[in-house]
Amino acid sequence: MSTFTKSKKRFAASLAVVALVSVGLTSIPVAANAAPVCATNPTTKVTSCGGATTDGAKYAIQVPEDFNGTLFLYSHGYRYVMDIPGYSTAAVLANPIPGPTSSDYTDMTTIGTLLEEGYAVAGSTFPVLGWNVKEAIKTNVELIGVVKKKFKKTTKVIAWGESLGGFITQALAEKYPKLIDASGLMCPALGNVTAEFTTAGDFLWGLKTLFEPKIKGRNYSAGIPGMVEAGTDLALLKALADKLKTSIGTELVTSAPSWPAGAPGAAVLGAIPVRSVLLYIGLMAGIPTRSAHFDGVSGPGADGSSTAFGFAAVGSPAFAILENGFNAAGLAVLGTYDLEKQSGGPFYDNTKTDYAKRVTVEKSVYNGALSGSTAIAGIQLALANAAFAPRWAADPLAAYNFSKQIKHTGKLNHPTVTLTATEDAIVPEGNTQWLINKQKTAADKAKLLVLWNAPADAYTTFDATGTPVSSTPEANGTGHCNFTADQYLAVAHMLADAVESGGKLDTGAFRKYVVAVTDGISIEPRKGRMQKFYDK
Amino acid sequence: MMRFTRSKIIGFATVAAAALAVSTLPAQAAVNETQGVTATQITLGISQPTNGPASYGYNKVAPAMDAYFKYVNANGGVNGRKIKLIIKNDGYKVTDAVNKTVELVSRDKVFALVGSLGTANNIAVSNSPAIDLAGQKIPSLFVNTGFSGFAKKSDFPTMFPLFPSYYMETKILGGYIKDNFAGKKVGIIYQDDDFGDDALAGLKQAGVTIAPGASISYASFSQSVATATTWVTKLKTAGAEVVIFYGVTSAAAFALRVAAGAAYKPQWIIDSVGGDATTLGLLGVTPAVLDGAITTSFLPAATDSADPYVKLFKTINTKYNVAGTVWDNNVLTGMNTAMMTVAALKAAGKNLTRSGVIKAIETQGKTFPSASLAQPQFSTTSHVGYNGFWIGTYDSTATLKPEGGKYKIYTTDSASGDVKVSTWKRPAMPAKGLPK
Repeated sequence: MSTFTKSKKRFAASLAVVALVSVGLTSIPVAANAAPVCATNPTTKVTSCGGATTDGAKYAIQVPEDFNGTLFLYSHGYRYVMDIPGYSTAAVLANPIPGPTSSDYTDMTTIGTLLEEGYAVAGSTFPVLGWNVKEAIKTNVELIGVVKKKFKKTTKVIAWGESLGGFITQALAEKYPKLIDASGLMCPALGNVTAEFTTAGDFLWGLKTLFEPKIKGRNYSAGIPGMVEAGTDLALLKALADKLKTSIGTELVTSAPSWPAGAPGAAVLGAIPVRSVLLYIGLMAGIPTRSAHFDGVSGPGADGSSTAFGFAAVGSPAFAILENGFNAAGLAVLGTYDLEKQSGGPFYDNTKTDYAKRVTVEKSVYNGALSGSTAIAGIQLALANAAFAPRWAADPLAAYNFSKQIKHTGKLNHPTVTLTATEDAIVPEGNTQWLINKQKTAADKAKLLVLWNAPADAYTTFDATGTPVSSTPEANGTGHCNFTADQYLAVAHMLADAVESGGKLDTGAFRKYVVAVTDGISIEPRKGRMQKFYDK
Repeated sequence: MMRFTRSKIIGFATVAAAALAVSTLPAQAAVNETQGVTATQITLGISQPTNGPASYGYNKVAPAMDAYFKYVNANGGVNGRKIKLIIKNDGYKVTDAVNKTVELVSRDKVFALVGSLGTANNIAVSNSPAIDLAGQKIPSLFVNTGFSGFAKKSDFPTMFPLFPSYYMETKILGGYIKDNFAGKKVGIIYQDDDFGDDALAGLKQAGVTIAPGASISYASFSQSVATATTWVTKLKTAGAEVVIFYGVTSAAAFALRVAAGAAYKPQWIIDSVGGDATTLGLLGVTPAVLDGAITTSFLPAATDSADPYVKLFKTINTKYNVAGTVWDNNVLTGMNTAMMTVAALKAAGKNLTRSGVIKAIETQGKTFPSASLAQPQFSTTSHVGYNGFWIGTYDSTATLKPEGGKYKIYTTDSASGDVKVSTWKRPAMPAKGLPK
């Protein structure tokens, strides 16, 4: 099996490339607050400005010659609090991005198109890395002022952001409704930070308990020792992902359980295939069973053959959990390190979690892949055994501090468009559904348009030997913030139309047109899967 | 790359004109009570396996339904509308069942789902937010599964199971075993999921004791010659004289063939799901192997050419089904499901709505005409369909003969209710087999 491809760089740590974690905090140069330094490109006539806000956040502003008065203010997603050589470095992190780009930060199609259409764009690095909502709001407020002061033609501000940037955008819009005219939330985390880190913690706990006891997973030490611990966890997770991949592949050939050496689960669950146990952990954590390369319907060999059916029914869901879960696990480690530091200790707590209740439906739906009711009962018994599977208790003060992170009310003060992949394992679609559920009145509902981004039914490919290929680009509709420029622009155009149409989202021909000409998005009357532990 | 100039966005007239040619998109989360209904047509959808290892027998159900609908269409349709059935192949995979149902609902704009197959698949579909069955009030009519949980209206408000439940079946069979095989060692092979759990619960309620070492579960999709060999070895070792098989036909075929090869000849009692002779024959089970096996049914035997429904459906099979379709219990089941569907659509009246058809089944479903020898039990509080079975034995030609030479219907519930011999008499078939 090929190595899994990377998820979106700005958020998910692809364990395939995380071999070393450098010890040393990345730092963004702090510049004195000053007027932006601007230059106009003689060819494109676009004026580009740089500078820093009073908190030291570097920003970039770009304004076209025929500026129409509307600014797109972009908030980027989560950036790691430490360097990961070859993956996420200070050089990249220090560069402000004024809009969505390709995953390697080089494709400026979306930004270029908006400039060509007469819009201004701006974005900053924010003054700190990691989960930084409070700081980011302050920077954004200041940056809006900088743009308005420098470019007096600015009349409308559309705030938009991805992932954590979506969270920041919604928080900004709730706190300063008069500063913003419309919001775009792409792959947004919404509500509060708890849901994402509950998923992450549950999955890490499951992996540690059943497969790799050396994983620390939480309660990282302060400072550099803690960074070393987190880095060690990443290396352990990478090694574990490889072992589990081998185990599942072997099991699909031999039909016999193939546990990695040293896995604690083997002693009590050794008769159950690893693929089933891993799938169970993924389901209880709320991880999607379709991933970037595993669709749950395709298999090697002729359509309708036993081989194809067997892979699709029992192999694909396990591989999808492996791919999704381990992308999320990277963030889980680094995000946990970050938020524990902010909270003053371990905040995740599963001492009262009823994991069996979490899979009430899933144990029926995936019963065959989970190796049947008897196997499921065995897994549940093992995970409920405190001696075998000790739970993780939070530090009460840290949990309290964590709970005080900025939350959303879900109130929409102006037109808001979300762009949400249905198989996003890092920020599940339940985040968007949470926002939908918050809109109770017809007037509130009219302020929200959800653009769903679902993958094609079938997209898994196999090589000549029947091995699934996972080196191809992620299927659109899977992964985290794995959107095309057209999809970003669909959000932008719906928002631009709204601010230019008296603050109302179009519900007629324009919306139909935007959806119809944008591959991979729909506004079908669907709902997103809520995480069962959401908002609790 | 999609590019919008300001003139396109601000002066939108030309874009809007172009958009009119683009497919219409629904408002988000709007319930469409009449989706799939026009002045001349009602569009229905079914997701089931039409190929793959889990398709044997089941792949005949949807075409049989379609054949009956064509017959109805040829005879004036339903309240003036023709029925169109869209059949999707899900290969019996849960993810595909959801995908295909999303297509049926969102792209094909069906009015209702009908005859969807499989317990796990129907649970997946019912819980899929992308489909939102209950929220969109999409009727899921007469699903092809006997899982007792689907009859619970509070959990599945728009779903109507038709088959008597697995729980009912084993409770009835349990009583039969106690009456006819007292003192014999009883073993069981069962699918280790909701399907099998339902069956175990029914057996337990009936008070059947399984011999030590003779309770064998298998995970769905794990059946093979190798696994069947371990089943037979265990059953032989345990000395099981009566073996209940509770699983799908493909697994039943493995069990019967391997047992025959090992010269192990217990009294087989096969569930109605796994006991169709034609399908077992396709999977290599000879009539000689099946000879003497006991199974159940709620429909008349497919070989009962004296039954008016069987007689009519066979003629429809010849005239309207896919050419060459061999008449069997699967075809009978499909046509019966289609007839119940037509009865429900007719009962809902000319102004057909999703809520209307649900209400029609709840209030009138007990009297819908069908081939079943057990009465439908639908009510405003319960979605239980048929509630009983008759028991029969295969002879040396793989013909299922009812015990005592005539149908004796045992009825019960999916709880602690008694098993009774039914006194209900099936009403005469409506003229030409067309519900009024």
